[in-house]
Amino acid sequence: MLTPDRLETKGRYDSFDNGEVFYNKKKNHLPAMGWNSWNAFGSGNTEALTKAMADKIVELGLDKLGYEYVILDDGCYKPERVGGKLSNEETKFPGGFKQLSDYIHSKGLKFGMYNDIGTNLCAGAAVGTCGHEKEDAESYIEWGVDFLKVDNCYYPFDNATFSNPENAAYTFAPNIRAIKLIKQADSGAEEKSGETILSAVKDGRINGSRASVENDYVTGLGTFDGTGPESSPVGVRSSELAFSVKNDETGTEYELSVEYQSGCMEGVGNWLQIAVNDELIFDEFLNKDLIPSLKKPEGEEEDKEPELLPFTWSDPVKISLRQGDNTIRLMNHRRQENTLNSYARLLKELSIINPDHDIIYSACEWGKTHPQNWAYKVCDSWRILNDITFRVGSDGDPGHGAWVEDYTTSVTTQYSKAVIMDEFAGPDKGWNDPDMLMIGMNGLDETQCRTHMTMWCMMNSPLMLGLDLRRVEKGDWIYNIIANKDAISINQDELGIQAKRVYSTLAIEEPDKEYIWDIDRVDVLVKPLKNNELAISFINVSTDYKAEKVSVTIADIEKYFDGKIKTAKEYKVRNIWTGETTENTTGVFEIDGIKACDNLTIIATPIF
Amino acid sequence: MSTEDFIDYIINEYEMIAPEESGHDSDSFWKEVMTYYSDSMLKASVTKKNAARILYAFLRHVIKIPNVDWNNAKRLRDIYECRVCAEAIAQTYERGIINASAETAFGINDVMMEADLRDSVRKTLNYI
Repeated sequence: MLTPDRLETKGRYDSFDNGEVFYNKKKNHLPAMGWNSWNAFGSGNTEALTKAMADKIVELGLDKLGYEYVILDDGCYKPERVGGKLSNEETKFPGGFKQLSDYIHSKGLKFGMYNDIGTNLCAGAAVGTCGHEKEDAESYIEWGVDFLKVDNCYYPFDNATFSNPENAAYTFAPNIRAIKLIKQADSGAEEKSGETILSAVKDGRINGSRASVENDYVTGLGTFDGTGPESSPVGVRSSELAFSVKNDETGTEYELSVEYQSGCMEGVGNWLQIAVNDELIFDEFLNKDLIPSLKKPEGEEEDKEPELLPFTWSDPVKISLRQGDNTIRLMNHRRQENTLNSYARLLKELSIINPDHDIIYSACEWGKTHPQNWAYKVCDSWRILNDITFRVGSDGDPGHGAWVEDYTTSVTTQYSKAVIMDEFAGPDKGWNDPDMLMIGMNGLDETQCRTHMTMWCMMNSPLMLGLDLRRVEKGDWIYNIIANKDAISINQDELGIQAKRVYSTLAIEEPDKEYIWDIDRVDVLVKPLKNNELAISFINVSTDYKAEKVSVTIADIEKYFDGKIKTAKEYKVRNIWTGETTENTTGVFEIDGIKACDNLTIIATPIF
Repeated sequence: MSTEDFIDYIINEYEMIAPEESGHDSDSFWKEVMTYYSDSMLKASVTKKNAARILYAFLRHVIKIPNVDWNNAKRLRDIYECRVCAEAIAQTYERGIINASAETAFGINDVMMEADLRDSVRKTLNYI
């Protein structure tokens, strides 16, 4: 039976903000650039196609511009392990991964691969790293892998994609009606004179932004699911139920019981964490009869109503209260903690084999557990949402991308979330990843692709090409977008500061924090660059022409960067898409009308 | 009918109606779908999402018809729960090969009855 690990303090929610990385994870990488097979070929990628892409990267000179990683996504392994190890799917990759890695390295490029923290890969192969981290790390080191993208399907400790829905039992606390405190000296006595019952609704307080009161209990104690576009990435994405308890004596021992209702569905689980004054004293399933992995293996299809058990009192837990004010916290942060731990397990094994390894580690858990809070500890980038397209291509079919869709499957959905996530990015942390580029897929025109590239460059997103590069020739419109040196220089600027949205026509008070879904707007992004340069981008997110004048002043910009940028009275201004240069002596940067889906992006160089 | 049986059934039905064109094409279809599934998955019953994925592979590898645009498929709320089969669901649904279980739900995890599986193969082969 698979069970979540006992966690050290360093991997717990309360340590997420301490800035410490695990296993000597190397930092200070710029956003990764390269080509990934998924958007181009889905699970139909082959060795021959991969070699052709590597050849084309070199032929087009894209390697000289920074595109260095060639990454095999899902669909490259045999569907079962061989002798406990990963192996190549022989029809598609007859030469094996080491030979392919050598080929890619011989081109001066770097080799990337894919796996999953669950039991299976998303495409189905039963070769996920869960429980196999040691042997998989050995394989990846042996194959000379430079980049790992690791997915989150069939994950046994959360209700992730293709996981059993009942796994929510791991990641949500039960519904809580009350807690009971009995002074330990009184616990054996017939008269429970020291018994105190505190109501969750009347005496408790909900911290954070997930849980709510329902009738006479508190429900939803856990972490928001960030896979879809519904919830903002900014602010506390989980909640706890806290009780303040005053103790007049020194070091009194108590027994604590919880009146709870276990379930196994999003919002109501069975795993509870209890902390007393920041010391975690309980962290496990409350009801031993409702453990999902005891019931069925991962990925087994079964339609049945989720269980919700009656309210009952838990067995007592011994706690110690200090004299004065105490806080008892009831919570479940395992959605984030388990996922961090699973990503860390592979990193740990890689680090044991080669402590000096510098494999770029890309978390693809789709924003489900709000990795912006924890992924910097183990990874270099983290996906922020579900996929940007579900209509991937194949050999001969470019696939389909969209500018706007209701779900995550569009440029604007990914952009609208990532654009307010600048606080989480940086060279000492890593990068928000709004998924691979869709430039060159059907469904997006040249203007949209140009703005797509601008957005990703301004937001320090990894630049992973996702098209069949055999369709590109030097000087064609696709080449001119993906090879734009100014755009790439903005993305790869050594300061590593993600652009901040300093203005939006739809923002009410805080354009850099407000999560705005409505695309009928113009945004202004500013990104400080080295040598006191500024990249400034006016982006019409809308599919309509915008006639209004939109401007931003140097004084506005200074305000958003807390005086950390050095400004000037005059600037030399270069339009990154037209190459046109002008001078600005007013300190006001503006547009007077902008085409649908278009952008005007400049690099402003101060003249001191 | 298990997933493996379903794959074999498609190939057999195809070879009966188009023997001169079978061989290489159905071979590449078979190789493709066998990379999707672990041994335990091949023994499992056929869910709607897996039926869609298998039939879509057949449409691409054997019949070689281009994708149609997503229209009503966009209304299916559960289509995005399966990144590797979303396109397959959309294509088989838009072409009327597999019906949705409700107006806004495909029913991706519903197990298909044998009669429905046979019917979906018949509809697929009509595109030859």
